[in-house]
Amino acid sequence: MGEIGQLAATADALRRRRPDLLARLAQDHPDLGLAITLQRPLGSGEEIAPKRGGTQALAEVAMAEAKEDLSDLLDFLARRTRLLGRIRLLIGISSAVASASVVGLLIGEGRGTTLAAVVAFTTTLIGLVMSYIEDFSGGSGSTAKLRDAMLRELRRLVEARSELAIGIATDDDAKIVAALKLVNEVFGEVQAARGQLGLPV
Amino acid sequence: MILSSMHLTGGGLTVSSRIYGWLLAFAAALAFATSPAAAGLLSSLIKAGEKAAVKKAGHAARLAGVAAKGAKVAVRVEGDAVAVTAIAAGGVAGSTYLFLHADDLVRALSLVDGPVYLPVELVRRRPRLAAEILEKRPDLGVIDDAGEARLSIARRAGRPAIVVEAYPGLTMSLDAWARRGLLQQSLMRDLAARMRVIAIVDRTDQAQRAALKARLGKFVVFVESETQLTRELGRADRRLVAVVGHVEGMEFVLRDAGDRVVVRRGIDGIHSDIDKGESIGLMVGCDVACNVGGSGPTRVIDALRATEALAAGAAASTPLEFLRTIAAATGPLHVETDVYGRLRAVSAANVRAGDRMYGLSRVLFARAPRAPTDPIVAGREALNLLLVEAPLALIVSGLATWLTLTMLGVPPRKTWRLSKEHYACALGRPEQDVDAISATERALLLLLGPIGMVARTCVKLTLAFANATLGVLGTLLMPLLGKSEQVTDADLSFYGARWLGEGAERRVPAAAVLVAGAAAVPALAALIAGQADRGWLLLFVAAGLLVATLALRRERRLVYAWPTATALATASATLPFFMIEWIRQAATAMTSWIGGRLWARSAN
Repeated sequence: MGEIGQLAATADALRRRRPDLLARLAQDHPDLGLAITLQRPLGSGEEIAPKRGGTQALAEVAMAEAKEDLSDLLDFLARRTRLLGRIRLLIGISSAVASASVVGLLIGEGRGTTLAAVVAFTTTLIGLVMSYIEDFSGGSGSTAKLRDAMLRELRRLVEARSELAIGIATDDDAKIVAALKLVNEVFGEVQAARGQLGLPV
Repeated sequence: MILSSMHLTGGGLTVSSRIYGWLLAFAAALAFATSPAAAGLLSSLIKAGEKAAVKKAGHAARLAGVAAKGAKVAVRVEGDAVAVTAIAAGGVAGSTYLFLHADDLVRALSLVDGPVYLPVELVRRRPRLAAEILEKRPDLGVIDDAGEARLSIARRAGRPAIVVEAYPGLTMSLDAWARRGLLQQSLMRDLAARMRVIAIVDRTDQAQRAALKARLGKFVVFVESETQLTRELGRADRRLVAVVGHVEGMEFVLRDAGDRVVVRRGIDGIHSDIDKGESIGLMVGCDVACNVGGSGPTRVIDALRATEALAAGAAASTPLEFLRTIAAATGPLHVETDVYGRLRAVSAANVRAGDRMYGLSRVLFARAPRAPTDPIVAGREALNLLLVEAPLALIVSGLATWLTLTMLGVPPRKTWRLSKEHYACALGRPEQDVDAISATERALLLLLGPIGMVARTCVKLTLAFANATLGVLGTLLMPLLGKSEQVTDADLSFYGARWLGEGAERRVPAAAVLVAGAAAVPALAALIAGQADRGWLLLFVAAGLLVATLALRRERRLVYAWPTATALATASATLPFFMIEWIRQAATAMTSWIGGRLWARSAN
């Protein structure tokens, strides 16, 4: 990939979101070395210096898609966070009912034992479900951490957008390449988060 | 030999007059025969050639005529002279031509109709002569008693070299070809089961991780830092380890999404780490072989294709099949020997700059030559075992035994006294001389005394247990346990050859039958006595033990057979027991609940 380095994360994200755009970019700008299908060359091969037109086109497409991808992921994380919050609330309510039923057992001299046991068991089951959901995405509190991390990536994307705009305005290739690398990093983090959450990558 | 002092020169070729010994060589021109040479063909032809009459040089051209009629041509090299014997297809009726000049031989062989084969020894010791012939005869082959193959010239490390085109997509050096039998041993089944693919892939490259995981499943582990790589290489103990990663020069390099280098590790260093774990290393990365050979420009291979080949190769039965599978996906491989004589395979890109489809892969069969044909490795292992490991194990065991006995309540003083008494008893010394031991004996007793005591106690306990419980069963089942010298023909006809014939002792381990029988008999007794729980438990133990042992023996995992069999037997015995109990309790509870509801309804 020459001076712009490897853009695997960008290519993967475009392949997942907009394979048509990726195919068009690969066709119009072969100097970018974008692969339409998933490939991972294990060596450098022949290096072709990318041209200005290719990097700018890729940066613009990647910028727009990164924003959409990040938004989708943040929406998902928001839904997941809400779900976990509701489950946590349900556990709290169930725990309260279970505690109350213990008090009821003491007062009612043992009547309602089955009901109290069922409530306690249900509370445990709900707790297990929540643990599973959180463990699956990286452990306790991981969803909130991922959301914070993706919000940071959103800020970096804004920086990259400014960098690209300045690069185009001042005709500065270095700034365009820097913006492209930054977007690639954002895509990389998004891909890592999606992998952690079990979403398609 | 009257011509032994003469020199064979010509065409820039000089053969020195060093005595190479009797190099017996063979070149067969099979005018119409295209089938592979039979095993032992080389030996038989050489023998026939020796019997043939020797004539002077100058009749080489007649070879063409002889060969065209279906004869074979044998070449024999003695000192400086090269003799060619033409042998008629029907026997040894032929003549030998003695060539003093290399040009004569080359010219003569160029006239032979059909393929020409040289013996591997001749090509190894006279590579320039073989290259000369190969230039005239592009279809030149090499032959030994096990078969033959075509030769070709390839560039290796910037120099032309003769390689054997052993199989499609797989070339070999002459040394490697001579030892190709090692690659045809059934090693891959065990190796593949212990394969580990270390993929150097950044966490941001989730697409590649998912693809590798889908192809390799549990075999793949991902590393994204130097620390993780070191740890995973350290864990690779006696495995087939494939390292997949991006290669720059002679290093594996991992860059993150920001193009920053996060891992940089030399390929040679990784090889050393893999060798330390006595594993077999397979480096999968671009340019590995090319850089080793220092040849030409590079092409790239794809990680996903390479891993697909790894997954497919895992089903191979021999290293040869494994290499051919890899070669089919990543491009031609070349097998050679390293300075220690170990077989390794590199990409054919290493040797053939113009035929580099996907250049890279390097397989080092560091431990594959475990066959008796590798005495150096075997000798070193034995020496290491004798001089280092065994004494070390003895010292540690001795100290541990002292400690264990003390913890079990036997004071060191008592242990020491008993050790001396046993020692004196074993040597037949009188009782009063128990303490009369030399310094050497004292040192040995300190080390070995407690071990001897424990061993003796164990033996006694085992014998007592066997006498009390298994003796009777053993006597009854003895004819079933394997071939015995006391087996008579009547026994054989009664029990059948399955149990008493050759190799019967390998069919069912004696101990398995004994223990299974020991469990089965009281199980039946318990069942008859009405104690169903205990009866079923013991029956499950017996059945599980037998099944597990037989299954594991079929897999040839004898080392693990007994511990695993015990574990499986215990599991198979206890789990159904508990399940029966649970089902019974659940049924009781449900019956009570239904009965209660019915009673309440009828009461209302």
